[in-house]
Amino acid sequence: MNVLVFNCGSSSLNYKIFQLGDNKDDKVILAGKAHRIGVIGTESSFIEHEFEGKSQKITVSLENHRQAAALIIKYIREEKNIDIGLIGHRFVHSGGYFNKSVFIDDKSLKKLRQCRPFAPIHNPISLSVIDESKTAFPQLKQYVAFDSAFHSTIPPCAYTYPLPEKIVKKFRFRKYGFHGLSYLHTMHQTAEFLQTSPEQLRIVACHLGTGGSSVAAIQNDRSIDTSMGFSPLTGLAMSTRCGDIDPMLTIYLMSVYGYRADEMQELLEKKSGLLGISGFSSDIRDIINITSKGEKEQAEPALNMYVHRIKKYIGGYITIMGGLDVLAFTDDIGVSNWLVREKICDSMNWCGVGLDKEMNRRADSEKTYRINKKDSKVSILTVPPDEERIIFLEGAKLLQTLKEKSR
Amino acid sequence: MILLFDNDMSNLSFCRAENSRFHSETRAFSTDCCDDIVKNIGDTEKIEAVGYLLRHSTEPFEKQVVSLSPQLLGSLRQNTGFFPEYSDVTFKIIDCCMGKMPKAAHVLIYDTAFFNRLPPEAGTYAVPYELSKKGIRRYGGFGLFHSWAVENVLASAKSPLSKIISVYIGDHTNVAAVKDGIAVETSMGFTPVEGILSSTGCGDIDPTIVFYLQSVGMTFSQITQLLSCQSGLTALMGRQAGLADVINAPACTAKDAALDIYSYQVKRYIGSFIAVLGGVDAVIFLADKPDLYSLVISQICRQLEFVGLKYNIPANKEDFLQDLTDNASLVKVFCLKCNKWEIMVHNIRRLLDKEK
Repeated sequence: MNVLVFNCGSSSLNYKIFQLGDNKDDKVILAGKAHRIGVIGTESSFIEHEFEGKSQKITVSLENHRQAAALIIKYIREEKNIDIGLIGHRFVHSGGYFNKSVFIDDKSLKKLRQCRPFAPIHNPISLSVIDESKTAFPQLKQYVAFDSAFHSTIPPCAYTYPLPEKIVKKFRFRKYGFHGLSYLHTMHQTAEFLQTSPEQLRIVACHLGTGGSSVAAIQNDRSIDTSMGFSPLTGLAMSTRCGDIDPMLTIYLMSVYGYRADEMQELLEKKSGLLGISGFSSDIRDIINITSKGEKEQAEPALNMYVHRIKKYIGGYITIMGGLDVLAFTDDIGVSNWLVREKICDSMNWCGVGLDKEMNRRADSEKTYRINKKDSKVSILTVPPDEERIIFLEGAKLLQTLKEKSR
Repeated sequence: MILLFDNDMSNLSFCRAENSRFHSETRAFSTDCCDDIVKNIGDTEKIEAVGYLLRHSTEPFEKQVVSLSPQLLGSLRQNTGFFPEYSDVTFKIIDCCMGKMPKAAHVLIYDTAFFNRLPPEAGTYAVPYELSKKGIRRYGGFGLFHSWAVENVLASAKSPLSKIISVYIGDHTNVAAVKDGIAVETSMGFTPVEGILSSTGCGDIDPTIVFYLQSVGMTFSQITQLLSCQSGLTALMGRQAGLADVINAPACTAKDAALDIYSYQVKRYIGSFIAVLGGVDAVIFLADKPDLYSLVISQICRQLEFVGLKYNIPANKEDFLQDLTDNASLVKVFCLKCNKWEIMVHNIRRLLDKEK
């Protein structure tokens, strides 16, 4: 059976078609990505398809994700004649309503629609792709895999916001966490690479992306804490998000400087982080380049803050777990930027982290790679992201339980 | 006799200190309570010095303790900082005391001076840098306590201690990281609400929550009240509660939950700061009544065994400074009993002796 997986980004749509074999061996038979959806700029939007090692780029105007999904489905059916048996979707935020992947039926779809405000950008996009898939394949089973599900195991001592109970219950305030599918993938890849089971490992994983970034503590095959919170705004200094900040400061700025709530929210989400500190770029790679040239005064503080916050989370999580077995880096920056990793691992002997600087520079962004010194107590790995594969595996698991039930 | 004032932003406490005896009182925060206080002292001729603990100011003090001169006072009025109401009360007290006790020495103790030299990555926020330039930064808190504790530990230590984590335990628990005597991190931020949950403050929460509450119609002052006066241990216990109240409460789920969250946050901050320092040579616990918190302290110490910390319960509980370090420990552990008024007097005496 072929499983089509959709993975929505804020301005992109990834898809992969996996062939589900009898013994769960999976093979990607077609993949692609729609770029620059709804982006106004000089460069046009386009869809890239990859098939049997060849890639094809189609320039086309893409106003929204639903339209991109329709074009992708049309391509799969009409150009490639591939039969689809199951469709899976990534869903960012379950609002605490779901803590594992589910098939989409009328009941679950209604709940999914209620989740909209918890991820006001991502959830509506995913819902539109679900709607389009239903229109195109009314008979097919569809399911969703949640980013927030992996973090549903975080214990109360880490997820509770100590506010009055009435308010916490009414608004469902708690730490939810994000990037769960990425962490799930990182955990499995790590265990596979080290030829052990995830239950045996204490992992701190750093998901360092070009947009959002977070850190997670993984122990006994589950997430026990993560740096993002109720929303993706908290934690690390990200490309444009402020990360951790005194909550009173936001009130102060609004009441004294007269920012409206929406302006304040935009300031903290879109104008802060690396962009806010540096004043010229939200991209850590730009900031690193400029820092080495010494051209802009604010480049170095931005890089220092970026690294400082990551180190703080790593140290906090190691202490909570009482030690560390694996430090894993994933997503674009985590896998491809050696300097960021070198700075993070600097002065970490206290917890047994010993980076091999040469290996670190050579790390391969295509496959899992070990970058620690031989005598390092902690394994340090780079793990290339593959959220689609995790979504696919979740689908395979759902099918399995369905089969067992019908027996 | 020395007269001491601490305006902690919600209450005004004052103390008469004489021959190591301290008589303190706390009153509600108001602009006209000082006259009354001075009137009650009676013979003001006996007052040799008046000390004021300043909890917040944007004045870039180099020193923690300074003599108040008219010039300094003028400059202070220019840099009232971000909480004008707070500053108003403080200036009223200073004006009143300087007017009524012109012969006494007037000394300002600046609580956040200890954190003035935080490196930018710790001392600022990841917000547009124009805001940081306007003084929107992390001021920290309890600098007076941490600097006193570190000073005492360094003076008594037999070997040099470069990397120190100082943990204040109480209703406003907070952690400081100190490298070679200089503070490099603090858990408190722009205000003391940031960081570890306090008796009524929420600590670190997602700022999106503030926008949520505002969008459902709460005003700024209601949100401020909620986050700083109705949250923290009080919210978790469902009644007004300080740390000691939680510890002394009869066993119940709320108590367990509150202590779990509390010690989790403290441990996490300690670990974060070990990473910032690149290791740790000593951990210091300080509290008004350390005996009350011995369970919390031992719980935290056990979590730090993986960095080679081993502790003992000391034999002599009377000393203000106790060395809890086990012989086999790679990290020193100290516990200090601190009295705010005593620390203030110590600082004032030292300044006055120097000026003689």
